[in-house]
Amino acid sequence: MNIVCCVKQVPDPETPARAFKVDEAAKQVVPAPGNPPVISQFDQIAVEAALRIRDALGEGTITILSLGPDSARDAIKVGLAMGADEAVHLNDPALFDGDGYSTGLALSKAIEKIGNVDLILTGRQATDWDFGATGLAIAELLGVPSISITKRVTASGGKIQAERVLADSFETVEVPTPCVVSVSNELGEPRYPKLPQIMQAARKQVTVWSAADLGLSPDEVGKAGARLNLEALYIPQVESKVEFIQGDGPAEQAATLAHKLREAKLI
Amino acid sequence: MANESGILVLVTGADGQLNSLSTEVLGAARRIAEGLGGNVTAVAIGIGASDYGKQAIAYGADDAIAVEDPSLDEYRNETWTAAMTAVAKEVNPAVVLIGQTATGRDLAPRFAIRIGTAAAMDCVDFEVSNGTLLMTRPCFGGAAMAKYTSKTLPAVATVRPKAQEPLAQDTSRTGEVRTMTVDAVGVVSQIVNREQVQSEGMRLEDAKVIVSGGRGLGSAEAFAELETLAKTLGGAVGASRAAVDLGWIPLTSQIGLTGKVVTPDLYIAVAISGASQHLAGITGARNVVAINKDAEADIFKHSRFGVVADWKTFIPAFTEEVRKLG
Amino acid sequence: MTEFPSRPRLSPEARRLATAAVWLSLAGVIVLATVLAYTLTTADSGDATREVLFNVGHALRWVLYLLTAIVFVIIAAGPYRKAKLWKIGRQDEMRWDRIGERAKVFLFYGIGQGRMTNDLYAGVMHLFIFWGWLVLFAGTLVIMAHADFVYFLQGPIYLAYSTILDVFGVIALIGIVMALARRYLMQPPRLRLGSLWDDVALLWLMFAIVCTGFVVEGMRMGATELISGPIDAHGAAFAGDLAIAHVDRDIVANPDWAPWSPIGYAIAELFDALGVSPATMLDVHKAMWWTHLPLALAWTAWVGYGKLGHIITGSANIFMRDLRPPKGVIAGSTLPAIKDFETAESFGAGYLHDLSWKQLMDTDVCVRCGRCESNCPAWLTGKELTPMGLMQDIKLYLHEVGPSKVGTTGPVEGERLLAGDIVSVNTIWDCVTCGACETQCPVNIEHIGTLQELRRYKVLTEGDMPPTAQATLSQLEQRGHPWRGTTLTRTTWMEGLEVPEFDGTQEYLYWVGCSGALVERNVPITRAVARLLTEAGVSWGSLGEAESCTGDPARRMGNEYLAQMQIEGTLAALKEKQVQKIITNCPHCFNTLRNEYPGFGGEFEVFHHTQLLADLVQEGKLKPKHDITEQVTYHDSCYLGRHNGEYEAPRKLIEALPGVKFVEMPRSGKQSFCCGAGGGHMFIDETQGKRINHARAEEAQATGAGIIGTNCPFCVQMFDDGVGSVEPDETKRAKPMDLAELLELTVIGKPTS
Repeated sequence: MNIVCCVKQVPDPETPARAFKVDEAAKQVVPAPGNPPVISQFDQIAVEAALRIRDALGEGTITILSLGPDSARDAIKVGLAMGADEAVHLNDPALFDGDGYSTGLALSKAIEKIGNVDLILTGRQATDWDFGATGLAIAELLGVPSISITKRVTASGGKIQAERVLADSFETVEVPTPCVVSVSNELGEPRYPKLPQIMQAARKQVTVWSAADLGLSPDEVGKAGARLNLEALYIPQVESKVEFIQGDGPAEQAATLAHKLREAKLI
Repeated sequence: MANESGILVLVTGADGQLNSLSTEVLGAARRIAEGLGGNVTAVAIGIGASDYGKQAIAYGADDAIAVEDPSLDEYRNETWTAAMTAVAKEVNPAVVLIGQTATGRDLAPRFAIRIGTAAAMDCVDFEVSNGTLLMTRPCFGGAAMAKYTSKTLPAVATVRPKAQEPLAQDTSRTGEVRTMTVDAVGVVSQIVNREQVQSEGMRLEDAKVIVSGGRGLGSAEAFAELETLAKTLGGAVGASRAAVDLGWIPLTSQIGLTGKVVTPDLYIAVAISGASQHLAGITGARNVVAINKDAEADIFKHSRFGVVADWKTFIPAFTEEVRKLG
Repeated sequence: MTEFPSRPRLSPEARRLATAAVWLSLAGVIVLATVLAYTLTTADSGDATREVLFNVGHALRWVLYLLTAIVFVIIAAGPYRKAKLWKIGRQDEMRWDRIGERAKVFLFYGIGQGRMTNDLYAGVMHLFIFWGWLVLFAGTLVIMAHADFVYFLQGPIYLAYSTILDVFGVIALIGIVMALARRYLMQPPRLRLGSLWDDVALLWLMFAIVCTGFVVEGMRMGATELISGPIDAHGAAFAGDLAIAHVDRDIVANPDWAPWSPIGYAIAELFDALGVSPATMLDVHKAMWWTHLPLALAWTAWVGYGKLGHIITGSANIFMRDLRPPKGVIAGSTLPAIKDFETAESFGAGYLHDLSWKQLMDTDVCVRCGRCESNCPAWLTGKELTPMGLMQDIKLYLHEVGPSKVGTTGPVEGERLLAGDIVSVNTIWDCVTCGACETQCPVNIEHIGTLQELRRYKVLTEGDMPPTAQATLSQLEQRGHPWRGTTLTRTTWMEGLEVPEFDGTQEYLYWVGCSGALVERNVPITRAVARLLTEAGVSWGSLGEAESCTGDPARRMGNEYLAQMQIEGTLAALKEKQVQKIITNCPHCFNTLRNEYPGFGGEFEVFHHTQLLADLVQEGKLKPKHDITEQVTYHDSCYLGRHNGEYEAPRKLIEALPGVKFVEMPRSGKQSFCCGAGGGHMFIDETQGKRINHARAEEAQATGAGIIGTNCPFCVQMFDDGVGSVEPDETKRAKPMDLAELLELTVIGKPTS
């Protein structure tokens, strides 16, 4: 069983609001000093999903695939430390800043180049741009089935079963391989890497490909090939109109609040 | 394609009733149409498509297309994407809007690529500038906003629930509802199992009052206090992702960017710091009351009333006061 | 289990006084007896002496020597066999350097029994048994020397000798009776692992030895000193060629000598009063002597085994104390580093052979006294962990599977893991590394190191740990601090303050730490310290964003790899700025910078903020002005107190507060009870039982103080939570405040925010 896990390195979503800054001219997030980039959390869960499948089957090769600059290597290392076997890094400026389509194109070509892939796992959305479209774009471009936003993925006999998280229910869908499945946090916590594994991961070779290696020209990929254009990026201004409830201690505050809410006809 | 014009809106419903998200999307479509010109065409797929199409007219659609076929009764990515693609080719819109439900999230990206464009997901606002559609959507967990244009047409966007205002229902409006058949496609996915989630009490999406707890509660047992308050207020209990991840409350209670979007009249956030991912779930809440030990907590910037206190002492006292009010 | 004592404990001063009194009395007996013997004796005392091996035959001396030799072989075999088992462990532990220091340690803790009177009753009991037995044993050696080498026990010296031995015999007996009363009547819970042979039978054996000894003496006296006149010396034999003195002169026993052996005298008089004839007394004497001999030999042989083995192995363990930490600092404050990450396949202690030989020896040295357990906050709040249980479980398994492991490497067939199997997962994670166990143990067992090795195995080799630990370690690895979800940055606390940026020109680096910067409750404390330093004119600066975690939480949670990564990073930052003196906010930062960083090449002068502030007040650079009218109690944090021996400076600070009324908590100083946040437990959920911080908060509340003085950002949070939970009435709650906040109030006035 050959599994590819797509991972992305993103700015830290837990950057405190007071430290989160945007460069509006460059339309980029300014990295916060105390918050280095992290692997997108759902992507790490995708690696966990892959490991669970391999554990259950007793066999399988897991390849981490990431498109990004040098810093993406950290995200790749996380995947390797958790137990993935190999890694491919698409490190070419022409590929960066794409949208779901152009990024999905590069990734799908990479997956074709890796070859013989049965299952592609991604996070449900990258925790930077929050699109949730790239995984499905890969499926569309490869012409394979997809199941999105799942909490459980299993494999048996050339088929993949995944349990989708819907508004009020869970739906288990089965599709043949090859296919793309995106996972959500309901799948569970990624396993903590064992130290021998971390040490091994540090010694693993990462294959690096450029757009040319994928047989793609620069105008097909990255920002040039994107179909959506980012016009503006800004932090929405929120005027705080909060009324703090005063009082000598919680009992008094509670009484005041209850009163005000009753006045406002809210309770 | 060329000469794209008009707005195509995918509408859905349940039990013969058009759902509220569809009305919101239709409202957005109408407003876009004022800027871009062209018709607003609603498309409904599967069971009840004609009913939904008809109801869509009353909410702002100029006409509607119903694609009815047994193979489309259950949502499946391959069949619905094919249907949408066929309809889009037929209608040749400049804009396609889809409500951001589980179906919408699954359908829009593949559909968009299939028709040669890319989807802008989770949009909260639209504007037309110089004949181009600008789509505004939150990103970085809701900490920032991004505006996009689509280089390729149609522009495809999913619309976040409760972000757009629907039009008032106008049953005097008329418009054609025509059926369309689409070619059958091979079905590769099997729905093997469905499990209704046992959620006690009312749905969070319907609740008028929600009492919600976050990481600061410290334990699963703390939610019992919130349950009591919610019961006294006649509301439901929700939670931030932190509390759910810590296993203190089931994930069906999760409110936020990757949880539920709620629009209660009163949202009481207890020991929730106000991370943008959580705020993303309550932008539609009419009145937010926040209780937090930290006077600088971000939640207060988005609240109407704020109480700087330790929830442990405040909530029981508050529950008591509410009870006294009767 | 009790949580905190319901009856008031003796204050440390009272205990020290009582202990001193006991020591003085013991010494006093010897001195007094000698003085009296030399001053009160009559002319007849000049030849006072007694016949050795009276009534049983002088030839026996050779048998005795032979038996003694055999007994010594038996004794030696005990530790020898045990040592073979200890050798199964890692050999990379050297504990015989700095012999001079070690000798001093042994003198204080071994002979001096420095820790025994932490439990006053048991300590006095042991002092009595120890000195009673030692003197009696010495007495036997003396008489042997006198009989076979130098004839000197004659006259006043003999009388003093007799008195001393009799009195110390009684002292020993009192001690033994105290011990028996403890086992049978008082039955303290910590003695729950008492065994039939090794505890009960042993005590009765000692009781019998003393009693038979006294009867032997009494019968001898009854047949000699009580009836005056010459006694045939049964001496002779083996003269000349062996050139040893022996009793061959006539001894004229004198009744005047008798009172100098008061017990023997009393027994002799009693038997006499009961109408027992001297002839019968001789028979009883013989019978008792032949009973006393095997009992005494059996006891002596026992010294190599079981509980009595502590005489040899316990002494050795004290001698081999960990000398890496500075004086007054427990071993558990300074964990050993893992050196090889690259090639090792397993980390920490999974199996017996992964522990060091010293750690295996620790388990054998444990005599099940239970002082560790009765001071362990985890055990006292109903959790699985007991340090005594930890030692005993490993020991039992060592003896079960150890013999088959001798001479092998790696696990043997069917060998069970220590980490998670022999020692349960709950036990491994219950520990808050408070150090009470190591502080109390009379034989210097180092529990924390062993437990941390088990933790390292779980985390590094198995990747298995409680979810809260996992989340915290991931968080720490990713963001360089353990405070998941913080909305603050490392510079938020500086808003509105003049904070110099440390650039190497200032004298002190103020190391704020993760808690001090990123936890809302701690920011006022950080600001208080900053304002006070500026007020006092201290040359200081802060690193701001350049600070990252010192590695302490990672180390305590068993992730040595992450800890070392943090240590290397922090060291580089400190060295780059040429830091020499550091003031820390937090005792955990203090401990690791002071005690653990030297092992990685980082030598700094590290102060905790209470130490520096106390000095500044002393020097008059900070002038307390405003009154503190509330009653203040103080919580000795584990990492400033037991881990680093600092109890004085904070108290000096409190006493400098004008108007303050200071009340100590029942468990304070070295006996302080952990707040529950150590060992990673600020972040890890407790497994079961009462929350440790609730137990301590109850104790603090019960003092009636209005303010609980703290010195640690973890403790203050724990008290905030604990006091809030145990006292529902807000008006009755004590207010946890850092000493810096108190000082700020009295020196500067209200805080800025």
